[in-house]
Amino acid sequence: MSWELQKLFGSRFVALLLLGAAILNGVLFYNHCTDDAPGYTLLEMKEKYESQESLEAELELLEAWAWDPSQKLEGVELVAKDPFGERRLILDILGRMEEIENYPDYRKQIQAEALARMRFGLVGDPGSAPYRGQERVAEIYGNLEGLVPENSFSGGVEVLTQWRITELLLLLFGLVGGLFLLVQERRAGTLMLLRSTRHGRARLYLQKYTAMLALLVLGAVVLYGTNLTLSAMLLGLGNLNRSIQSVQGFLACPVPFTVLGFLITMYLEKLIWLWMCSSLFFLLCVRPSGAAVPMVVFAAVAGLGVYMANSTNLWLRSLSPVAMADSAARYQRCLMLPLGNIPVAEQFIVPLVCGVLGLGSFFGGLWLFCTGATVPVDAVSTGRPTLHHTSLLRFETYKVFLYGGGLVVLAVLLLTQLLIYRGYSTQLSIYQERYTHYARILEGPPTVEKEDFLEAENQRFVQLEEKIARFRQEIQDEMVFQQVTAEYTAQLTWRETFQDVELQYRSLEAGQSFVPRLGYEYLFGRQGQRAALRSLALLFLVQALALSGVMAREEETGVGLFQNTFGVVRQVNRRKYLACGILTLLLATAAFLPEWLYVNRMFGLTQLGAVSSSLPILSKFGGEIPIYGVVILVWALWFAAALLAAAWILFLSAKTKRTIPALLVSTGTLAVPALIGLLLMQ
Amino acid sequence: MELRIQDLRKNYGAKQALKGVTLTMTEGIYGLLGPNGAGKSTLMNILTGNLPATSGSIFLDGRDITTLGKAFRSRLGYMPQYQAFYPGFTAEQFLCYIASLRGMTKNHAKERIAWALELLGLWEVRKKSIRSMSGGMRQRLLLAQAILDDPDILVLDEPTAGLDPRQRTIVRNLIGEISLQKIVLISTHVVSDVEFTAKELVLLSQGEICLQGTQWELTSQLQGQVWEVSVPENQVGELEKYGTVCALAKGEKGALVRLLASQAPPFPAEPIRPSLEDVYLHQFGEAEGL
Repeated sequence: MSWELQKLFGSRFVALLLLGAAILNGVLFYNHCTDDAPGYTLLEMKEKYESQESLEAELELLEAWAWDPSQKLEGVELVAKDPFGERRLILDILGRMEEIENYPDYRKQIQAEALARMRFGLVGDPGSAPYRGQERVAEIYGNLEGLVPENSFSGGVEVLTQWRITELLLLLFGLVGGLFLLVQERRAGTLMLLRSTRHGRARLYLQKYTAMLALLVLGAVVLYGTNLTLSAMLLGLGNLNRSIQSVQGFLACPVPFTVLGFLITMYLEKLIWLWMCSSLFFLLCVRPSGAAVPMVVFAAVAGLGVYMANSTNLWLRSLSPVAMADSAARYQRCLMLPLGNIPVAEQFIVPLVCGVLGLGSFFGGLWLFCTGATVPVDAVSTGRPTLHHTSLLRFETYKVFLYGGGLVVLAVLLLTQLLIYRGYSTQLSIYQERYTHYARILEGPPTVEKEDFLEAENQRFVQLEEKIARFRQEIQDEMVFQQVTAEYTAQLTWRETFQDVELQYRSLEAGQSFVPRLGYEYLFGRQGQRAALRSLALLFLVQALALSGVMAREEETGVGLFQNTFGVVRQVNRRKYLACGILTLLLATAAFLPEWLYVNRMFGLTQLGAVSSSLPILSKFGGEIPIYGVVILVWALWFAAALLAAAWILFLSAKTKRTIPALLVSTGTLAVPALIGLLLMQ
Repeated sequence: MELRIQDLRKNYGAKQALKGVTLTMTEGIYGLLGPNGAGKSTLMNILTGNLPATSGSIFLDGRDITTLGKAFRSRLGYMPQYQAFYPGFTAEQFLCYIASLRGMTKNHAKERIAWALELLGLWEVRKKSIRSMSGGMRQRLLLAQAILDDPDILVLDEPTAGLDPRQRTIVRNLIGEISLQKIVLISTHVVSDVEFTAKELVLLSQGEICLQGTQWELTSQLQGQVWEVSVPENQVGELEKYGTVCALAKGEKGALVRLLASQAPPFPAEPIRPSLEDVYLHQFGEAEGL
C-alpha cells in the first residue's frame, strides 16, 4: 500500500489540491462559525446565554426603544452590533428556551398526532406499513418520556450539524484516488506491466483500494478535525453528555443520544457515505483509460441524486445520494419507510444501503480488475468511412467534439438538465394564477382602457362587499349565511392580488410599462440566483470534463512532437481555441437556457421591449435600457464567464501536460467554489 | 543538396549532451550509431526543431535552417523513437491528420496516403484503430507518416524497432529505395540496419563524433584484429582475458567464438573480416560497460 500512497502523494498536483481543500474548508468553516447574517454571531449568542434571567426585561426595553429610536437605550447590555440585532438575538434565545421548556408537551404532541392518524384512518388499514409506521412513531416518542433537554447554548454543535461543504471537498479525495491509481496507471501503460506480475491482480487491487481509503480517512480526519477544533475553540461544544434534543433543530430526534454519541454517529455515517461514493467512483475507474467516462457517469449519478431528492416518493427521496449525505437531517425527524408491510426507520436503512452499495462497488471493482483485459482486444475494423480532408480546423474540431468526448458531455448535460427540470412543478399558486390573470389584461403601457378596467374592478369588489353586508343583515343563521355568500366571498379573495397589481400599475412613471413581474422576479431574485449558481457549477464541471485533455493530449500521445516539427503549433492551437470556444458556448447555453425556458413556461417573460425601470428588480441594471438589453447583458456575462473558465482550463491543460491533474485542478478551482457558493446560499 | 551541421552544442545545465558536433551530409543514407546517452536523440531533436541548440548552426544548401523556417520543415520527414499516435484514430485518419499538419492538399494527400499504406503493407488495416494494431504495424505507420510528403530530408530514429526480421529487411530495403536523391539520417542500435546501405557511418559517444567514415574505411581499421576462435565450451570464459567476445556459436568441436583482440589468442584462431558490429564493440564495448 505504501507504494500506492507514494503514487498519490508523489504528485505535487495531488498534494497541492488536497492542501488547498483543507485550507478552503478551514476558512469557510471559520466564516460559518463567525457569520453575522442574522444580525448577531453565535459567539454573541453564547455570551448572551449567560444572562438568561434578564433577557425578558431587556427585550421589553428594546421593544420600547424601537418605537422611538432617537431615545437613548439604557438597561440593556449590548452584545450584538446594534439594538435591532440584539432584539433578534434575544428573541432567538427566548424562542429556544421556550422550545426546551415545552419539550415534554412537544413530545406528547408528536405521539398524539401519530395516534390520531391511526385512529382516523389517515394512514390506511391496521397491519399496513404506514399504520404500523405510525404505531412505531408513537412508541418511539413514548419511550422518550422522562428525557429532559438541557437549556444551554448549543451553537458549537449546531455549526457542525449544519455544515455540508466538507463532504463535497472530501469527495475530491475519493476522486483523486480512483483517477491516479487506476485511470492514470492505465493511461501510462504501467498497469499492463503490473497485472502480469505474481501479485498483480487481487492483491494489487486491494492495495490500491486501501490506499484510496487511507487518503479518504486522512482527509476526513484533517477536515472534520479542523471543523471540530474550530467549533470547540470558537464556540465550545458544551456538556457532551446532555441529550441531543437540547440542540436547536433536534427536538424531534427519535433517539436518546447524548451530544457526544450523536456526533460520533453523525461522523461515522458521513464516513460511510463518503466510502460508498469513493468506492463507486473507484469501480467506475477500473476499466476506462480516460477520466471522462468515470467523471461523466459520476456526475450523471449526482444529477440523478438531485432528481431523486425532489421526488415525491419517500424511498427515492431518502435514498437519493444527495440526501444520504446529510446524516444530521435524518435525526431531526422520525421517518418510517415502508418495506412491504414492515416500517423501517430511515436512520437504519440509509447507512445500510450505503454499506451495501459500498461493498458491492468494492467487490464489483475487484472482479472487473481481476478479469478484465488490460490491452484492447478489438481486432475489428471500425468500419466508418474516412473522410479524406486535410483541414486542420476540421481535425481539431473533431478532436474536441468527438474524439475528446465534448459532444458526449454536451449530451449528458442536456439529459441531466432535462431530468432536473422535468421534475419541477409547473403548478402556479393561487396568488400566481390570479396575478397572471390581471397581468395579461394590464401588461404594456398605461391606457385609458386599462384605467377603466381598474376602476370597474374596484367597483366590483365594493359591490361584493355591499352584497355580503346586506346578506349579513338579512340572514341570521351563520351556516346559511356562509352558503349564500360563499361565491361572493370567494370572489372577494381576489382583491388582495388585485390590490398588488393595481399598486404596481399605479407606481409606473412616464415611459414605463406594466411588466408581469413574476417571471423576472424569479430569474433575478434569490431563487433565480441560486439556480444560476447551480447551473454555473454544473457548467464548470462539464467544461473541466470536456476541455482538460485538449492541450494535454498532444503531450500525452506524443503527437505534439509532429506539430512542433512541422512548425504548426500556433495554427493548431488557434483552431483548438475556436473549437473549444464553440463547445463552451453550446455548453453554457445548455446549462442556463433550461431555467429560462422553465420560467417562461410557468410565468411568461413578456414585454421585453419595456424599459427595465418598469420593474424594481431590474432597475439596478440602469433604468433606461430595455428589458431585452438586460437579458442580453446577463447572457453575455454568463458566456464571458464560461469562456474565461475555458481559457483557464486550457491553460492548465497546456501547463500540466496531463489530463487528470488538469481535470482535478480545474474542478477544484471552478466547480467546487461554485458548489460551495450554492450551499452557502441555502 | 547539402545539410551541414556546424559545431553543434547542447548543454543541460552542467551536462554537455553535444560537444561541438560537425557533420556534412549530401544525398544518401547516413547511419548514426552510438550507445544510450551518446547524444543521438538530442542531435535529432535539434535537427527537427524539437529542441533548441545551445550553440552552433545547421545549414541547408548554405542557409541557416532557423532562417529558412517553414521552408526547411516542409522538406523534412521525421520518425520519432517513441510511438506517437492518437490511439482512437484509424491509420488512414492519422495519416490524413499528418497531411493536414504538413499543409498538403486533399487530393495530393489522398494519393500519397494510399501509396504509403500500400508500400508499408498497411492497406488492409487502414480502417483499424491504432489502439488495436500490433507494435510492428504502428512502427510502419510511423514510417508512413514520415515519408508521406516525399520529403528531401528524412530523420529516422530507430526505424526498425519492434519489427520482425522479415519486416526489418523490407523496411531496410524500402529506405534504400526511397533514399535516392534524399538525405536520410538513421539513428539505430541495430547495426545491420545501416551496415550495407549507409553511405557513411557516424559513431557518436558522449556528445562527440568519435569515428566517421564508410563501412569499408571503418572496418579496415580493424583488419587483423578480429579472430574466429575454436575452444572447448568450458574454456570460453578464459577468452575474455585476451580480448572482447563479439559473438558465440556452437561449433562441431566445442564453441566458435568471434574475438576482438589485437593479437591471436593461445587457442586455434583464424583472422576474419571485421564487421561494423566489431567496430561498434571495439569503440564502445569496454568503455560503456555492459
